[in-house]
Amino acid sequence: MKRKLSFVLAMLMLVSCLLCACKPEDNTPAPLKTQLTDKFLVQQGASNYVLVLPNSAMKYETFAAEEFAYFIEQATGCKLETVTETTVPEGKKYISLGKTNQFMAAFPDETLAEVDGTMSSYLIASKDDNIYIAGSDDHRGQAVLWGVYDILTDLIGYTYYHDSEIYYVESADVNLWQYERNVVVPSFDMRTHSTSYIYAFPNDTHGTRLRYINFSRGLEWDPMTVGHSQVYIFLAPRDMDQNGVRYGDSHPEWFLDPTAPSVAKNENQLCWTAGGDPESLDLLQTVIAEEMLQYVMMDSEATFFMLGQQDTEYVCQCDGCTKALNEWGGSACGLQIDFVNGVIEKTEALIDQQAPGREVLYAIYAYKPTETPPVKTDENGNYVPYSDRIIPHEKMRVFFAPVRLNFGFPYDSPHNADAYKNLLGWNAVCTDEQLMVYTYDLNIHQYFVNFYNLGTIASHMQDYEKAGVSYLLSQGISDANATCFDELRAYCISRLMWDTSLNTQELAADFIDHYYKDASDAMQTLFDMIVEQNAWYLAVEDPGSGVATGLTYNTTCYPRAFVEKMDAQIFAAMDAIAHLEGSDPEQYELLKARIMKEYISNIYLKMVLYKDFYTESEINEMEELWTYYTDYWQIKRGGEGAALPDLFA
Amino acid sequence: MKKRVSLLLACLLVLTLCLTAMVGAEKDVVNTISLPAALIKGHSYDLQIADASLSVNGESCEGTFVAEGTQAVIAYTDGEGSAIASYTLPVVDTKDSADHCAYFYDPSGAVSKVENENNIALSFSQDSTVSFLTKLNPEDLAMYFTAVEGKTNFESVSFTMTDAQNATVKVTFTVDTAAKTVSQGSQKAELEDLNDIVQLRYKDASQKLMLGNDKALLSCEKDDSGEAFQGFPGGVYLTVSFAGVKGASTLNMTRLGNHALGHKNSTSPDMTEPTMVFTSAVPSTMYMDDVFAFPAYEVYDVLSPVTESSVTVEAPDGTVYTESFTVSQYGKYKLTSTAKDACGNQAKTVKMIFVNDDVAPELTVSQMESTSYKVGDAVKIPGYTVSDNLGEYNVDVILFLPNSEIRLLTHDATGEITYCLTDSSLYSASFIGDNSSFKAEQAGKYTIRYVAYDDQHNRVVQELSFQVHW
Ligand SMILES: [Zn+2]
Repeated sequence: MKRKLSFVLAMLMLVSCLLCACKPEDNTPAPLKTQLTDKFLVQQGASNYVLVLPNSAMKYETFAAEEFAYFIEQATGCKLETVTETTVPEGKKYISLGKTNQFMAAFPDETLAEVDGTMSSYLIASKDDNIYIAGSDDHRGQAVLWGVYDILTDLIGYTYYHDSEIYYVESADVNLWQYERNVVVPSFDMRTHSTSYIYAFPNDTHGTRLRYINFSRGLEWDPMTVGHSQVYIFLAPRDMDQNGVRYGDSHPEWFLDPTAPSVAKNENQLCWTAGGDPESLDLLQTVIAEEMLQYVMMDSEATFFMLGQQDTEYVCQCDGCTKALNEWGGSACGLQIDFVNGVIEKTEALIDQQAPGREVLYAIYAYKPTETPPVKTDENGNYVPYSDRIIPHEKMRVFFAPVRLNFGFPYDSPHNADAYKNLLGWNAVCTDEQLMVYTYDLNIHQYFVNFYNLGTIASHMQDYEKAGVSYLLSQGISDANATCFDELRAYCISRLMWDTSLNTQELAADFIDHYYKDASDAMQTLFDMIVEQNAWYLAVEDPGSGVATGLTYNTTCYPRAFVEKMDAQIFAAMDAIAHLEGSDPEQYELLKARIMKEYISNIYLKMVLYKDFYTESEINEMEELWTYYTDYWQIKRGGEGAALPDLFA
Repeated sequence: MKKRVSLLLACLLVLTLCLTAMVGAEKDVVNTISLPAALIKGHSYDLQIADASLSVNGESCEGTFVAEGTQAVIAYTDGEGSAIASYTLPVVDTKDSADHCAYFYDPSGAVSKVENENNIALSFSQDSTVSFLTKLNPEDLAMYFTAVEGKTNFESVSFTMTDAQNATVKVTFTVDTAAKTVSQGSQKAELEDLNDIVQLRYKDASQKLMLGNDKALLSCEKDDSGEAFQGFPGGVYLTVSFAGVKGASTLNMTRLGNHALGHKNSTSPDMTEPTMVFTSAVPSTMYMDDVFAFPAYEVYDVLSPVTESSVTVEAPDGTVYTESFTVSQYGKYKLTSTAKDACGNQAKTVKMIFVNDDVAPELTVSQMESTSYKVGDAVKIPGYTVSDNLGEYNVDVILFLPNSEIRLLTHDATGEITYCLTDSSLYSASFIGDNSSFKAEQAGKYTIRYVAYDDQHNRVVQELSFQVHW
């Protein structure tokens, strides 16, 4: 569904942009981009522009040209031609995507050093009314695609709210923009929001338009080793050595539980000191390095390979590990880093022999028992690595996963004192590129109960950005579609991951405006009520409810009168769209479904907390709506791993 | 208040009827007259129909009459005194509710009826029909039965519900004993083993045939004549018909409506209480100065006459109303409905009607001392005055920081204030000022939102903004 603005409105936007440009304050640097009111990319539905790609364009450069042409055509009706760097028609202006001949000729001195190796940073510049966007040679050219989305926003107001709600201004004229040379660097170079809906599409277009990479089954991360792989994938006690003997029998010192007959992600752990025996440790690292080499050779596309610890609260506590812990400041992750450093050295040596030139990176978790960084404080009270041995190999990446974080409070709140120390410590241990964060933004056990933490999530992101985090992965509801403003959350998180300085309240209001349209006033009030109620409940009643597993529903947080007022906003929203039922039935049904999706949450609260207050016919009506809209929206779970609740039994 | 003690009658029209000459609109009236197959001795009936006068056994009748003797001649005349229709209905003696088999009326005598511990067994060896004599509650009409092994020598059994207000509206569920299906119109659903209890249950609110476990089987969108079906507003007469009978057969009826059949606990002829249905809406929420109109209702009892019924409303202050009144208090009004049958079984239901205050508090917020601060400055939080029509109120003062964070500063519960902004377990020391100020740590736009709300969560909001510069 596309929102179509009238041309008059488009002109108003244009005028307001001009007004901004016309009154720069004295100290303000020259604007990096300017709308050219006398020049046009498309004029009266026709264009003198083509899109230029390198002869050997990368995957996302090609997709960038397709996306640009598609949205310009949707907005203007004008179909832009895409050509290669050697077939630019005489007399045409162009938008150059990637390191084309045209880019090299226009900017012969550009080395692109600032974007080298990054996934998302891109250089943008205008020259002679041509626009150039170029990124690194890595990651299949994704940065160019992000640049294209950005200039589409300038040109036609393109905003990707949701796969069913893409905004752009429809007009036969599109003014050209002038870009001063600039390197655009997002807050996080690599981003993932793992909700079921985002990755429910076979082609991942929705995730791509939200500027995400797919962590668990994409191209960047090797899907075999991703996650909790150390015992689960690499080496289990039941695996056989060359002599056909179980490793658990031949080397019991390698495992927390060498007798374990099975492997699961949430059991066992490697012993990162091999029982304190240096010779055995060397062999263990060699075995894992050889395994790693196999995975690297099998997946020629991936950059990131994981050596993730098992998903348990436990690490090995053998004499070797205990002694090493005492020597290294008590951080189990110190042991893990020292161990994995050895694995990486051996793997890299193998790669040098068998696949020279192949560049890969190795990620570990700092999670649950290994969340604490191996640091000490220097004379100024700053964190420094505990010893040289625990400085991560330059090809190591550390995935800090603060699972116990209170998402209702900022990092500097006493509620997050431990997590904050850990974040600062990891910042001291890792270089900017090395630190990654795996975080959470869901109500793990209560998918139907509204909560609000986007504001503090934004502040957490700002702290991650300050800590130089290169990859931010936020785990949303990843095993089902969900209600509770799930689309709004996805939009805000996507925008914040690109630019943490954006204001979530403003993002949310803009989303509500575009997504709920005629019903936006009522839905904004509903949203505000939830924000306010959560702010009160968190501070006054239960600060602990801010952790992802701590959010709950009860009659204190959701009094009956409050739930009735939530209902009143839903009914007001329905009233506000009622006039569309006859005039625009398709739009009416779409908006109704969006509103009813949020009403499902109300039904849940009413049935769980206040069932006795409703008559049989009211309950029947709720059951019908619940059944219809949970099916319509494919909502199949009540909490992580939990079935859809049977409210009407 | 419209009060209708319902007629406690029975089933279908195996009517002995003599029609006099009729034309035009009168014909429609005659076609829709819905009467039980027979009357029950001692039960009172109201068989009035619109635009017609009623006489019973030659006596003019206005309102109810009590069935006596062995038959009743029911005659209708129009405004000019011309006959519209007349019917001769047998009067059946159910021995003051003790003879449960007599309720299954079978004029042909082809069906033998035996009351067992847990059922009434209907036995027959030819196609036949029995009509249940009382009007049944369609709100939740259980029709439970068991087919008897070796005695299921019939092709189908049908349950026909006839609208007690319009004989032309009928809905029939037909159970096919061989296919083990139940159908209505063009719809069909599977049934399980017919030798276990088959728990068919019609629910008028949703117009669905369900199983006892609430699994929906069929949705009744059209009646038997293919017309759009809108439910049964005034009860139904039930007929059970057996077709394709090839030999000696028995069907055990175990439940009708809320009444378990059989004489298992027969210390009294009728152990089952009446049921009540509101035929006009009962609101769950009302507002001050609304006029409460008592709802119309129907009372049903499977066996016995209903002797008493009432609806009362108790106001929050204890005042009891029995006729319409103007809402004058906030709180819960308790609507109680009761009904009693001739055997002393009593039904009682209670429903709460909430009268909610819908007036938000009044909130006045003072101005900021300044709208521009420097990082590190203490920002004074403007005060407010608040009042609510009912006295009790809450005010949350919420700070929206430039970095998108939200912090509750104070919570005011009618003057009892929680000062979160000085709670060092919530916020960092660098933020905390005193009970009326905090430190600006970030540059950018701050907003203070004042949310005042009462117990009903009527809400009013005011916002103040200011800038903080480096
Ligand atoms: Zn160990």
